[in-house]
Amino acid sequence: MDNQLTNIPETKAVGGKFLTFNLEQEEYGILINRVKEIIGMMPVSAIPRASQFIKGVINLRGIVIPIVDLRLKFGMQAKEQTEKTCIIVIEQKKGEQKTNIGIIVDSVSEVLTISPENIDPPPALVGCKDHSYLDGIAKSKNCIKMILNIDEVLAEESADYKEKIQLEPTH
Amino acid sequence: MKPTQRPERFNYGARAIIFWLIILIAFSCIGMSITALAFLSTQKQDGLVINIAGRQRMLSQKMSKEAISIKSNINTEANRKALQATHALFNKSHLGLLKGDEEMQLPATTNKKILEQLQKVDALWSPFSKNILEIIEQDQDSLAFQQSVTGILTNNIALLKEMNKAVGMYEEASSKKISLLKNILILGAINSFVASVICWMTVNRKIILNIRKISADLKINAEEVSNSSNHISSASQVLADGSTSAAASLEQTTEALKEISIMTHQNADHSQEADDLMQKAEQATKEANNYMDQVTASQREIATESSKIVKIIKTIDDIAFQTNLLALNAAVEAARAGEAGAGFAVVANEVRNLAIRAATSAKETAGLIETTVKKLDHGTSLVETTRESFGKVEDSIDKVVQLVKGVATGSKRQVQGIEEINKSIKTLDHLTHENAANAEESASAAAELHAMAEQVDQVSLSLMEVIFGAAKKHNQVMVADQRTHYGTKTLPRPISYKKEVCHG
Repeated sequence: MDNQLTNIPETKAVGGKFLTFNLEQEEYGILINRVKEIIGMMPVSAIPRASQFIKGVINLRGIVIPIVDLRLKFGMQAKEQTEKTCIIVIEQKKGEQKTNIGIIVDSVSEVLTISPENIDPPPALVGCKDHSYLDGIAKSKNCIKMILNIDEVLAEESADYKEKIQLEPTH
Repeated sequence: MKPTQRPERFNYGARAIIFWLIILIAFSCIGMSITALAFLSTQKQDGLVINIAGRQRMLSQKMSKEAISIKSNINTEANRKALQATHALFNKSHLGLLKGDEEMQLPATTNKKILEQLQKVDALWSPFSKNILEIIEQDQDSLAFQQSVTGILTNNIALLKEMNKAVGMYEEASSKKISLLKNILILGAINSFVASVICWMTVNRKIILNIRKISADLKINAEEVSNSSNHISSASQVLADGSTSAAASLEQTTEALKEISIMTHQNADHSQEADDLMQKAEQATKEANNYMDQVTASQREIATESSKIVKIIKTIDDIAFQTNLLALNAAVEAARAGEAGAGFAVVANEVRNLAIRAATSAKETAGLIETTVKKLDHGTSLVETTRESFGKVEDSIDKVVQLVKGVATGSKRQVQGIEEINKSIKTLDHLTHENAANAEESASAAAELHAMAEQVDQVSLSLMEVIFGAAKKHNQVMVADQRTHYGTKTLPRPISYKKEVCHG
């Protein structure tokens, strides 16, 4: 399992299996080997003085996991949670350390295999400074799925989180 | 027209004045007659007295002549006898004049002056008489005879003069009496004339004029009464005609009332039937209400059942969601497992598909249930609306029942009222017939009145003829009288009178 993980390149999209989820009307994809598990929405304990998009922490089977509201992170309007609201637990590796971090999404769609030829690199757009969040854009039928570089998305958060709460890594 | 007031002067004493005037005239006539008769009787005596008194003068001279004849011895014896007779006559007449003599029908002289004169005569007569007697008895040659003759001759003229005076006084007295009689007669004539004139004026002013006025008024009144009677007659005719047509109308009214009565009875019956029907309708409405209550109850039950179903479906949906999550996690695990997890990934996918189908079915069922519940709600609201409508119907039925009852009682009252109207109409009919009869009577009475008015007119004409004679035209008198009568007092009356005349 560890081997597989290491085999998968961390940047730039290649084909493979993706977990797709929804925010607003848009569909996003994450490489499936970065996903630890999917859980339904559960009570989140707020953390004092945390960033606005840090919802708090949850206790998942004895492990405290920080939770990021991806909507707020992406600068979208906050939304009341529904029955379909899920938390995707992402496994992060920083050197030897493995940390988990949860992201709140509107709903989880499916596990999808996308071939590399169906993935385009992110377009160079005027006024869009930073494309580091996107690995590419997948074309599936008539839809578009944005392949997220979840490490980039969560990088600052990890730093911020560590700075702010100085959470000791458990594993 | 009100009767003309009689003048007030007429009210007091026209009769009394005329009576007293006639009494006055009568008395003055009677008084004059008596006075004239009395004077006439005394006048006869006066003539006799004057005659005898005048004869005394002659007798005195005769006695003187006879005495002188005796003295002269002329026919002595015859003269003596004559002288004796003359003396006796003179003496008798003289005494008769003084004290009255029934044989000579002489009254005693009462006039004092004449009586005094007669005393003077008497004073002369006493010696004269003695001388005469001595002449008769004594011898012619005797001294007494001679003295007597001398005494006679001396006193002869004095006696004559005194006697003449007496005669003149008698005559004067007599003529005075005559002039007095004349005066009395003239006075009486004047008196009678004045009384007659006053009587005429009184009669003219107080009776004739009034009678003329009254006669004129009578004529006017008679004409007005005649006109009025004509009016009454025509009015009575109109009234009679009206009464007859009223009687006919009343009969028609009676017929119409009978029909109305029948209809009213029908109305009462119908309203009774309507009342029964309305009560049945009320009953039906109550039943409908009950059924509606039941419908509402069953709908509520359905609603609760539906909500239970919804809960179950939610549970199913939950389970489907959880299953989906599990399938996704399984897929994640399978992917992480690489080649080894390939089969597991297929299973996970199938599980996920099932979960999605379950969720879809649950969603569809939930949608159906939701639709059902919505329809139920709609049905409930419809039932409520229906119930409200039925409530309104009930209210309306109540009101209709009240109204129908009101109509029923009203119809009963109408029947009673129609009966009373029938009675009234019978009375009216009776009265109308009486009216007609009375109108006929009034008409005949008016005709009689007309006749009587003409009679009165005739009477006034007769009265005019009595007063002014047949030659005078009644109308001329009338017109003249009207002018005097109305011209001063009441000007409008002739106008109205003329109007009425025009109508007549």
